[in-house]
Amino acid sequence: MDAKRWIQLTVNGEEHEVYVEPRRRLLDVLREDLGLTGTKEGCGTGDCGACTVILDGRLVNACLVFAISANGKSVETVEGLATDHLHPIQEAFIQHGGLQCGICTPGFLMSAKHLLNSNPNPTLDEVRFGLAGNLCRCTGYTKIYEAVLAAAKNMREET
Amino acid sequence: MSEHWLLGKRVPRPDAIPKVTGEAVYTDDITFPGMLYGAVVRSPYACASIRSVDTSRAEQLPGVRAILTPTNSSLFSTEILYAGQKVAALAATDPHTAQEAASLIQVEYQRHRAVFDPIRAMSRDAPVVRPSRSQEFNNVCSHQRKERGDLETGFAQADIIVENTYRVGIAHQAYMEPHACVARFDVSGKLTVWTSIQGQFNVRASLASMLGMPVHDVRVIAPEIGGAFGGKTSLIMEPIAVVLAKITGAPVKIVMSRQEEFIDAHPGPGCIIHVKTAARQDGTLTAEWAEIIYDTGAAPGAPTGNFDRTRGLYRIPNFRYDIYSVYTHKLIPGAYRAPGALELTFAFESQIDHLAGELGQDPIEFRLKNAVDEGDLTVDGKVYPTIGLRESLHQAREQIKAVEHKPHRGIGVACGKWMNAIGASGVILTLNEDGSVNLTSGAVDLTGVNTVLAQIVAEELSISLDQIHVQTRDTDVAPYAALSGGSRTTYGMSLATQNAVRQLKKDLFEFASQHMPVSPEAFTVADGKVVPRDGSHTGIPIRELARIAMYSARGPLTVTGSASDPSWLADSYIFITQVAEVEVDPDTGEITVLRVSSFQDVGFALNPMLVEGQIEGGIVQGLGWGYLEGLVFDKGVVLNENLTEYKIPTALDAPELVPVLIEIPSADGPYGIKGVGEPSMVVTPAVLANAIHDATGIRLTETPLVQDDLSTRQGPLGNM
Amino acid sequence: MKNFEYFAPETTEEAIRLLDEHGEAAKPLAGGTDLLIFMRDQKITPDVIVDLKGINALSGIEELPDGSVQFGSLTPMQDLAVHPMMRERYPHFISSIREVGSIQVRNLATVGGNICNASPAADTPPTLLTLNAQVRLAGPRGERVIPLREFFVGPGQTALERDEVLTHVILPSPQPRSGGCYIKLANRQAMDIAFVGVSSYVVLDEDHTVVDARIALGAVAPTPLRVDAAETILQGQQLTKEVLSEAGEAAEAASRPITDHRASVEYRRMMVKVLTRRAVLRAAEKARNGNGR
Repeated sequence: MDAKRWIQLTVNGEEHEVYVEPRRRLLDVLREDLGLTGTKEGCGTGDCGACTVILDGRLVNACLVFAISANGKSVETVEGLATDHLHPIQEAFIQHGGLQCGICTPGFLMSAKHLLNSNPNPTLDEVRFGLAGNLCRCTGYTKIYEAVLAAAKNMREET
Repeated sequence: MSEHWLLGKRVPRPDAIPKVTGEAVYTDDITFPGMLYGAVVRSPYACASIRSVDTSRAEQLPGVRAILTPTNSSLFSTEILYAGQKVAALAATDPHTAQEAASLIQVEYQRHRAVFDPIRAMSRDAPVVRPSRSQEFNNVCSHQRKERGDLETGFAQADIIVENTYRVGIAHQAYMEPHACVARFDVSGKLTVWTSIQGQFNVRASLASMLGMPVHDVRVIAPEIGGAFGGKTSLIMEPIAVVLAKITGAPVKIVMSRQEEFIDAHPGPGCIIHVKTAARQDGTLTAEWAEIIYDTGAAPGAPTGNFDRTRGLYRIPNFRYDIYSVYTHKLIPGAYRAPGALELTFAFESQIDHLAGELGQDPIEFRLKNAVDEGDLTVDGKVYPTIGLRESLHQAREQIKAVEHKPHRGIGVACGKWMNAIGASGVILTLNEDGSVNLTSGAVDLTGVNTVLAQIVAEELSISLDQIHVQTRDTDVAPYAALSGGSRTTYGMSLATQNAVRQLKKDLFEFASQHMPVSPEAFTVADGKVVPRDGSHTGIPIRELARIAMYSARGPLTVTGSASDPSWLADSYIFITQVAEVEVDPDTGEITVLRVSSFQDVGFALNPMLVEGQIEGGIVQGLGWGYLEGLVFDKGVVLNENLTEYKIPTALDAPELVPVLIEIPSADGPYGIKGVGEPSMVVTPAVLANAIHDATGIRLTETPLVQDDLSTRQGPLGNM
Repeated sequence: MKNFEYFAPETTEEAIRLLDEHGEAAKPLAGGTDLLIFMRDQKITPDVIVDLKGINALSGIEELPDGSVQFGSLTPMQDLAVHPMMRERYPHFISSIREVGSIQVRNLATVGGNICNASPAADTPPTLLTLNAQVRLAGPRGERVIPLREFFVGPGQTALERDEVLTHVILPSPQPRSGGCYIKLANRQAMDIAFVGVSSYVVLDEDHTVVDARIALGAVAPTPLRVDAAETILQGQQLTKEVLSEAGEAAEAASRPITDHRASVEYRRMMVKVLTRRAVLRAAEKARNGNGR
């Protein structure tokens, strides 16, 4: 009853075809089949946000999506943030100490990107609400907020 | 402290770049062709004997390659001492199959009576977890006593005595990266293990010993680590992965699930503390007695050896402290950021606050009246040098003056102490032919140490930071380093680096004197050049000297540097005062933490941005242990085994944080630094309890400090 | 996780047919935020998964001719949370959605799934109950619409037949001078599960007398429940301290909380009383200020 299927995923703009068992999650396919290990597994239950990706424009936990459900959809992961230079959010995290061990960072970057896409000038409270689905154990969050607010400012000034 | 151009600056971490791009490699990111995945079967019962293990259904599942049970492996015992204990393990071709197979292994247990509360476990009729070290009590794993003066006299001199029992719950470090390891034998029989661990060399030694292999045939590589906080110091899955790899001939990866972390990792220990503290009417402390009982679960693990390291804040002429660790049928605790200290600080700082309140004295004034200072005795009878306790209290006092008082709000104060370790530390420093420098370290970079080491080298050689390339390498390549933790990493590794770079300069100056008419002692460095101090020569760029040396009879300039101390602890006294502002809903008891300020003596902040990060992270972890977190058990089974039910602070819970760095240089620390990784968490539950008391008049004596207790124990506080 | 056969029907009829055909062995999949975790823990081990997310008819929000609003059960919660019409007409229902999980979870989770999972502590049922929501169920025997009040049978148990699909939720048009409130008591400010939840919806007349009051409790009984006794007390009354207190006590009497690792029974009972008074007061305030339309 393996019932493997071919599915198509567009990841960071690139099309892929993968042959998957239905029980495999989008997180598994990204990390194992496509070698995109930037998206992390912290809990597997949608509680920590380390696996946050953007699926057809929606911020989601990749551990809660069956890959087969995502057939035909587009996924953005942390690997797609930088172009020929780092994304302003990535730069801001570096400059403001918004990370320590870094394992939660890809998830935070995706949440921050999603937040700033729809709200380019967030208040501190809006930043906190926008990041409430991502857990960090190292930083105590303060420098993450600073980084996101700084990135927002830089991005507004660029445009 | 002379003017530094790079030390003391807010320098971003170079390792932040691969972390923000997703390129940084953590253990679970590593795969090999043909790699198998391990899964573990665990006991659902706290105390039992295994009657039989039936693996037949698991064996039949396609993709299962090896199964280990108590029958065929000494890694597993038939005697179960805690729910969650490993009973069997297997390797399969993919993680889903491995998990499915594990659920197909059938184990028959015979259950026995169990004991879960440490006080209960001490009574003579309690079930025996392990033989007791005490004649008087059952299940005692260890006992120490510390005494000074005469307790009876001390209590007799007192005008007021306050006695309480405090309970601190078991808190998990909840690092975002669960334990993971990969084991692989190569064709020649040499073993390589990648593991998420704080100390590579310990793992190498243990595995070599377990396998009867020489140490040089075992290579341990620590990839990037996703948080540890003391919870990744000992082997957990590595032996299983190694044995499975040996049997199957394939690389084996085992990753703990979040649920497994909560039921069988090594959380911070729970503790019950009975304490009696006495003072005169004028506020001077006269005596203190405490019985401290750490719950060490099913085996030795509770860190009981840090009493002296964390206590000794006040002049108490008469004291007796009895410190026990007691076995129960629960998982085995370990170290969580200043091991054993938070529990003690919670009790003793609540006591001080209680006493001050009873005497009608201001909590800061009361502490200042009794606070130790230079010349006073430590708990173990040493003499304090210049220390920062009073300074931190003074600064806290200033801050509190500025706080506006509002209804239902409270302000709390608490103090703490820690001492950092040193540990064996070594580095290799190589000057490349283009003048850049490679620094090879064996210490896992938990807290940004590699950034600081680069700053040190750059500063000492007066070359730019981007010329320094620091890497943590594995046990085959790097010099020995004790595990990263104990607030020792920056301290010990900086010492080693300082020694190394000064040796490098010496060698450079020796070499330079062959190329300039200057004697080696007359040289210094400036702007990336070796120049004579008297300006008698324009100097030669370091890069040039390196190139010449490389291709000459001299050869490449490479040095080693090391630091160690037989006593493990540095004489580096770190004092902290924290201030917490909270609001308590009078009808629901809901606790909102508004702001936590921390006044911590850091000696010298080599990189203030990193130091603040450590302090901020520690405070929020302390808040978690203080009012949100705690493993909940039912008959020894963990009920809240996921991150929904085990509640660590989210972005919306973290309050405003104000980390204030006080710098009182340490005598022996490089550039006067003191360790910063651990201490900030130690004080926070106590300061929370004190703030809640200030807001409500209710003293909560058990963590997590919950609104439930506030509302139900004393009745509704408000007027509805 | 055990392997399973996966179907992604494009119509509700096809989904019903599949569920009917495979019987006990099949489970419908909505957002997956509960089901995937149960499957991972091997608490539920279906052989067949019928993924409803591809059925366009089950997603979307529309206003019906009589002024009520119907939304598809598979509409992601986040879509409801940002929808201007939903925010304007049913603000307290939207506020309860915002309490669920995180943005990431709300982009996957559905109200249909939240209702059918029927956790006693779920966040959306109490507000839906106070709005007199109805649910549309479709199965091989046809379609039926029942009040949400009749939908919850026990913890994790609903009136949904095994081969039925909950297709839509229907909310009556909001009334003038009405306001609602949802209060969730939990330990954390985000990503937490209520240990007491209270929702209130009140309709006032010109002199602020209560025309209609609805109170629903979550996490303090085997199912989310409306408290008729408390509502009767408020009917036709001005909201004085005494009246509120009485209503709170009636709500407390109707609740059947337990002690578990989240909170004790004593605390929960006390909080039902406290939060009922607060929720009614706040709902009335919104009704007076016109926030509830």
